[in-house]
Amino acid sequence: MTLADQLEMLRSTLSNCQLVAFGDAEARLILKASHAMSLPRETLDHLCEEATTCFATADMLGAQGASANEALVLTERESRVYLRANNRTDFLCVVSALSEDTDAVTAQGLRALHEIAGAA
Amino acid sequence: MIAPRPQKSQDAPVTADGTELAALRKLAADSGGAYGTWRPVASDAEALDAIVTEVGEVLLARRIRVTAQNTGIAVEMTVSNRHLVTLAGPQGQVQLKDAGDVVRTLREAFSGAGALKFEITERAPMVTQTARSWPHDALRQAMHAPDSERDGAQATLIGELQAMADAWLDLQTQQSSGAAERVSQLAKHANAKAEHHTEATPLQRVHPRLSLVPISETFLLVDVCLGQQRLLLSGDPKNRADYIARWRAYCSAL
Repeated sequence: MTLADQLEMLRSTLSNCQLVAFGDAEARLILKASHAMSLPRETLDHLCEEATTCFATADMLGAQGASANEALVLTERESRVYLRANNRTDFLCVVSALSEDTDAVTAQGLRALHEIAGAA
Repeated sequence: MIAPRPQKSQDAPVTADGTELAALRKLAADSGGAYGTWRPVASDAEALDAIVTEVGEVLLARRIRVTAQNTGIAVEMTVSNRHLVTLAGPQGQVQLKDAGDVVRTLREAFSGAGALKFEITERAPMVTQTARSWPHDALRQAMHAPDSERDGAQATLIGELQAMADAWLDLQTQQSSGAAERVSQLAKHANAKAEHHTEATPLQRVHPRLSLVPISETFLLVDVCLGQQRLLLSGDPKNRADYIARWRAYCSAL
């Protein structure tokens, strides 16, 4: 299964999921994304910046080598879950409606991330 | 459904509600107000006024891109019969609740614009008859209405979050509370963010948001941005669900 297929599958599994993206925080780049509507590049760049900021914060304030691998950003309309595996630079971003269960999104996202990371 | 254009008497006096005055000002101005040219705006209020005035002057359906010179932000609005029908930002069409929500979104998006450029991107966009729309008059009314509901909800949220936190730092007032070591960590985070300018588009930056980043078993970093107000808190990770619930309650109260 390709990365695009995996992202597409995760998005279809989650209810009210608007976007799933896989990126690299070090390269500051979204490598692949699955979304219903066409999106300008700036939106993906912004998500990448936000992920980079969250994980940089976790690394800066957390204990060395044991910093958090997830972050959550809520806006007035949506929730954005950022996940990474074992402090790696690649990450997964899931954008859903604000009302969605973020724990369920995180659990599904982590499963998908481990499959992607395992295949990489 | 799009309402018919309101009938106004030709003898109606020029009122101070801004509608006629804005139109007269535009008529008196030189051709600098044409589409495709930059129109300087002295303040955020003037930028909002220019956009709402534009809505009030468009009768036939048009899709118009509005660009801010200083921030580069561009928003596309579909306007028909002096009604704003849709508003689309970089992330696609924005879901809006009411005229107040439209005004708030525009005000935040075009904060610090410096100058605006209006461009017609489509001359006959599809406008569904059942589409919800916001008449120019309602937008102008919302512009001048006090935002007390939002201010009240914001104050309540901040009070609740501060009560739940073991330390906090208000970046606007520079007030803080809690253990010095934890406040110092919050300040470190604030400084790092300021140095790296890691936040992207202006439209995103000004939108209210709450970020939760777990730092350790006893430290959940809560970063709250409410327009101009920015609050950093150190919370208990066990209260994560409570922070989410309070944010949702705040958003649903707006």
